[in-house]
Amino acid sequence: MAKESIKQIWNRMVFEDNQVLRSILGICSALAVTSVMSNSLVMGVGLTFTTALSSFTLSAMRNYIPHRIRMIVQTLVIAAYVILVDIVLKAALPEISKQLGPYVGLIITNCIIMGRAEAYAAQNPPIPSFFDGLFAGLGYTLVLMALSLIREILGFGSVFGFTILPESFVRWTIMVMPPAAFFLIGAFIWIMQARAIKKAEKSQGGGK
Amino acid sequence: MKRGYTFTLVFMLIVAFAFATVLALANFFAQPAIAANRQAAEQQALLYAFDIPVDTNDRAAVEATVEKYVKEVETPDLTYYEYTDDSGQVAGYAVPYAGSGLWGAIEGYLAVTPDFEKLLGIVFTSQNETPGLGGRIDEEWFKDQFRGQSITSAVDYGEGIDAITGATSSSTAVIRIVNDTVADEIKALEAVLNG
Repeated sequence: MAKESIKQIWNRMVFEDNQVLRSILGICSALAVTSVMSNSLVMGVGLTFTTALSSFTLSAMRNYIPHRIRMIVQTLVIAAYVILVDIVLKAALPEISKQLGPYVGLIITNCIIMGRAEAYAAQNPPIPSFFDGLFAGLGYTLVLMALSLIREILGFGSVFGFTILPESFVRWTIMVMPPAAFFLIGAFIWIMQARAIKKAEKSQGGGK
Repeated sequence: MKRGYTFTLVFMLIVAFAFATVLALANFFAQPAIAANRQAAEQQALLYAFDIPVDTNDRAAVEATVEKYVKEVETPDLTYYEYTDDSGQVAGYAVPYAGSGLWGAIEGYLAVTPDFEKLLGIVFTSQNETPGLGGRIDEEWFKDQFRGQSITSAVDYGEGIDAITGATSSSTAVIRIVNDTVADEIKALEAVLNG
């Protein structure tokens, strides 16, 4: 594989191969925690931290891990970082830890982390793997923030808990519920897909 | 590269040991902070259940207020909390409760007036309901609805209490827990106090 610059990794993980919108990974948490922005932000930061560090660690170990137990090792490393996130949240941000409760533990089941470990960190050196994981997490965080911005404004009339719409604005209850996230993600995927197709057509046309 | 079973086994053991050590250390150093957070949360919860106003950001104030008004009483049968107001009168009792929510246990305190006729308040110290949906049982507007509700008959939605839209199971669980706690713990406390 040709050596990628950090900027290329950024473009790839945040836009072209955005894990939520292009690879359709991490959807469960994208549906569940995006009703308010603060939860989404913490979830995103937690996932970014875990993916970056687990990709880095697994990449550093990649030449030593026996092939047939590599998935066990991946799970172990990821689980260790998730527990670390949980401990740090409990000690430093008890309120948010309480709010997110079960979801922190569920970071481990987020397909993005293992996806990056298998697809990238298993074949690439630690530093690029770190950025690959970091930007995969940031791409996920950006999508979650965009989703929750729309959901929180329409569902609660607020942004990060600060009310910005007058009381007379009728809250859209559907926005608080998971189906709203489902429709919004669908719309986002549509936009990204349309963009990708347009781009592909353009580059094909230029080649002729 | 082909490696034997021994290497695989030793490798796994070493990796598992290394990561477990790191986690154990992290847990060890974070424990005091976590315990302090938990205690502060419990104290805040009690004050909230009794509806005693306090600046929740000021840990020292929370601690002092609890010392001043709330007394923990342990009897052989149950532990309860007694709230004595500024005039020295007993203004309420609270009992810890635990019940099952949608995803896991819901724990907290339920406070009642000294005549055992009305709820003073409910508070949740631990719940695993869906964040943003059932998790909203922990929002003030929801908990505040229970203040002053009569418990001479079963509490239910409709009469001054609204359930949470999109979180029927969690809302139902809360009502069930309230009624169960009144029927069991609160009745037991009444029996203990009246000899």
